[in-house]
Amino acid sequence: MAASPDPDAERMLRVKRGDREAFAELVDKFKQPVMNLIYRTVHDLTEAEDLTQNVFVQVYKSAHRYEVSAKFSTWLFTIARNLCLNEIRRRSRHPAESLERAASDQDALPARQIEDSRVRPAPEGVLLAELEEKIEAALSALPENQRTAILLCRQEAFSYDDIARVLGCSVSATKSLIHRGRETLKQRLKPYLATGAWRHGEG
Amino acid sequence: MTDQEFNQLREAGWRRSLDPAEDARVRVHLAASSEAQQDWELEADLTQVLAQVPDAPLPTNFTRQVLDAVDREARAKAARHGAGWWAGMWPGVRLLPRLAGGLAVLLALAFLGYHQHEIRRQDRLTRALLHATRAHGLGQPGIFQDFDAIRRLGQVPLPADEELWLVLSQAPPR
Repeated sequence: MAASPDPDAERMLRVKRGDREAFAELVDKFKQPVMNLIYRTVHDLTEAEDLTQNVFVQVYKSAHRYEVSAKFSTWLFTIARNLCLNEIRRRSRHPAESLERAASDQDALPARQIEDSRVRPAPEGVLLAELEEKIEAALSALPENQRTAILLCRQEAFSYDDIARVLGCSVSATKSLIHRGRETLKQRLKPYLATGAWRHGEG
Repeated sequence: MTDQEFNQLREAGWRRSLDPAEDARVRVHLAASSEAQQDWELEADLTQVLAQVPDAPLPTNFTRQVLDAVDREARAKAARHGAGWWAGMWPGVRLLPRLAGGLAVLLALAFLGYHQHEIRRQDRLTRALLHATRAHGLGQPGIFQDFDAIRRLGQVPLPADEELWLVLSQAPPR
């Protein structure tokens, strides 16, 4: 049975031929998941936005070398993860700079949150907001590879094999990372999960 | 249900909510242990909570920003390529000012070295002369003040002996 063609790889081949429309389609489709992954890795909105933009610029610049050897999304998220790891390494070399940026990002945060349309009535809204905060904190406390594995696992289009390719490890090692990460999350979030507050946000 | 089947369903449950049939099979499998059942509930809750984690905010014109960034990159690349073509022909061209500066410093050092060498040579010569003068009782070095002029006399072509004789013989007797 022939493998089903990856429509995103098809789009990327069009980008390789100079089709900017196809590139815009790819950006539109993947900007949010890429931003989600990067933001939860670098924990800085401005930096995450810049890095997300860089990911797509890299994709465009590398288009002439693109070969369909795996799913486009796997290739894309590998680029995204590598840029994140570079950023983390850069921060470790220049800690003062990242602290400044983090502070400026904190200043910018409330303005951005105003755009959030999901306004919930109290007390469910308060509980849910607190739960979201705890989830973000628990996720950010995970080791990078466990967090990345769990975040990619959320995406239906990503198989365990795809996640393993992005992380550069075996499928069994990937499952082990997810298992360990989830065990940690369960321990940290147990009191909040037990309240059932998150069920109000379903649907 | 075997443990392998249970693990497969658990791994499927990490990615999506299990359908009622799958969920029922798992619950039967875990019926013997209330602790395992509680853990399973937590697993299911965590999957749903993670699915609800909100998206990070992005500007509405993000795609436009990316396309602009791509255009800027292309223009910058073209500018780099255009400005640097001649430098690319011979990379040493960019080093010319440094090379010239280095050469000037080397020349200045060489000149200073030569100058110092000359001073030292003349100093040695003077000392040697003084030494020789004192050793052979030739008196004060002042007697050598016309030494150079006298030495050079030998280099000037002198008239032949016959001419000298002729001049001397024509001189009036004293």
